Amino acid sequence: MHQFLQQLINGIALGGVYALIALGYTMVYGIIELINFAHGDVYTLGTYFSLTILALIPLSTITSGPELALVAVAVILLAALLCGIVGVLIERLAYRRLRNAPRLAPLITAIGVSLILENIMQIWKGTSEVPFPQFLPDRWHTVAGVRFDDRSLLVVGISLFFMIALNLFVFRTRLGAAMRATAQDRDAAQLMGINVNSTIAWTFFIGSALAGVAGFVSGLYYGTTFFLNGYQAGLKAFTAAVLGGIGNITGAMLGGFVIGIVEAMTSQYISDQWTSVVVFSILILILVFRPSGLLGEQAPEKV
Amino acid sequence: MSAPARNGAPVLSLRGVDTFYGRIPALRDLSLDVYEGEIVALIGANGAGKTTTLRTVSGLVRAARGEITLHGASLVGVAPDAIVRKGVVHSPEGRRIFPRLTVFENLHLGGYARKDADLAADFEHVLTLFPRLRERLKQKGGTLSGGEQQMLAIGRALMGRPKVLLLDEPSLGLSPIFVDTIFSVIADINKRGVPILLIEQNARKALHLATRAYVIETGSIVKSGSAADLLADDDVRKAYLGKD
Repeated sequence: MHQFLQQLINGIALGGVYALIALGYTMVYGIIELINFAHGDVYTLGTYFSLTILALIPLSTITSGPELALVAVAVILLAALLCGIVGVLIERLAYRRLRNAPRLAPLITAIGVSLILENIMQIWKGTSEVPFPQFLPDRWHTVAGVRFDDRSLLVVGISLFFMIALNLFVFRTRLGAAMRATAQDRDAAQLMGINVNSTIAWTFFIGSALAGVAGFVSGLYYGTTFFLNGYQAGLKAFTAAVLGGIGNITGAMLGGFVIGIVEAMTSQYISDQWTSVVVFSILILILVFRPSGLLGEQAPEKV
Repeated sequence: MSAPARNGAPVLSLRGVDTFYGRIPALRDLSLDVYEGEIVALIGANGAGKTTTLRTVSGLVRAARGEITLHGASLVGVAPDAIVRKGVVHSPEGRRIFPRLTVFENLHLGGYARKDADLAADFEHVLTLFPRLRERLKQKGGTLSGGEQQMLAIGRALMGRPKVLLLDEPSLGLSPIFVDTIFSVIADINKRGVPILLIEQNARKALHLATRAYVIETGSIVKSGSAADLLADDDVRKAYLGKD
């Protein structure tokens, strides 16, 4: 039982990261029906930005709790901002001109952008593992026999915070309404006076910024990264988005946590080496038996 | 037969407009005007270019040649969202409400382009015009009946406070009772000072409501005049009004 609870906590922390990445996949798919294969690499870029910024801060001189929290917030926001800008640039330079092209063209372009980002990171930090500065004190807690540290709490807390913020943004603001309208009917959205280009750009900004947050969080959690890290994490987050119902924001969050927990349980009860097999088997099963995902639209729309 | 003489410049004017879908011409040398206070009907067969005319005005399709002006200012090459902000509001064919947004959200998106503070008053006005929508504010647009969706589409267009309103087949697929409701609302909107360019498959009803009308065939205007004249015109009666 302890083992189970232990893995549940690990799974939720992991799931928070997947959920944050999955949101970017699902938002972009929702608005331009593109699987943005470069998204996983934007996530790794988020880790790279975070560790680069952290290296500029004299961490050894900062010891008080509030100061450390301030550092964390500043790094998260900067990494999110930089990733958001990268996302907007990718959309502007690579995808926008292909918006009315056959769907294979932007898909192949996305794979190309992914390779470009991976190569940039390879040149930037090399091919070996890159350590992530551990600036938080190593503090462990034991509750009912289950051990977890501050980082797990922080990972879950940060993920939940940004998910709630995103939900409020998408469902309570003007720009959020414009995004949902553009996703449902681009022409009609234009006839409402919505600038579709800037709405799509904002969608890329927000999705990529969330990947930046995920990049920080995973760096903190794992303490290490490398230039191809986003390849598999991206595919797993994509699985999470498909599981929840691609295009569905709540679904992406749900799918992220499910995939995280499945992965943790698989490594506990089957084998560490089988996690990818299990996760991608889930992807195949969903695509075969329920392509619209857990929360996707089932009924055809009435026009 | 010619249009009755009128004072002042047109609100909306198309002059010699050509439009293409790819290489296929859709509109050829099309000219029409909408003056202050008018309801102008555009009648014609399916595929004649009625919808394309409206889509060209609102910028969804770009005019390859010719001039389109609103109060004298050119609309050619202006982005669709900017054209809306200038006051050309287009309620498109098939209603195109947002099915997964609530009625409330749909209506407020209609006022998305506006910056003024009268949105609340216009919202109230729309709900007074269509009391049915008030009961359904929290429902998703896609769950409404066809007639209710049409009310929503028109209400949403009114939220944009149009300087000129383009209506594409507002009565399509509606029951006769709803058709009468929609037509009386259109007349009411016009009485409040909004000029309207109306496409309608029910040519007889459209001509009874309109001030003037244009007949479009294969992308060109072939006839125009006062609605009363066109109602009495033999060719129009044969082609568009059916047996009488």
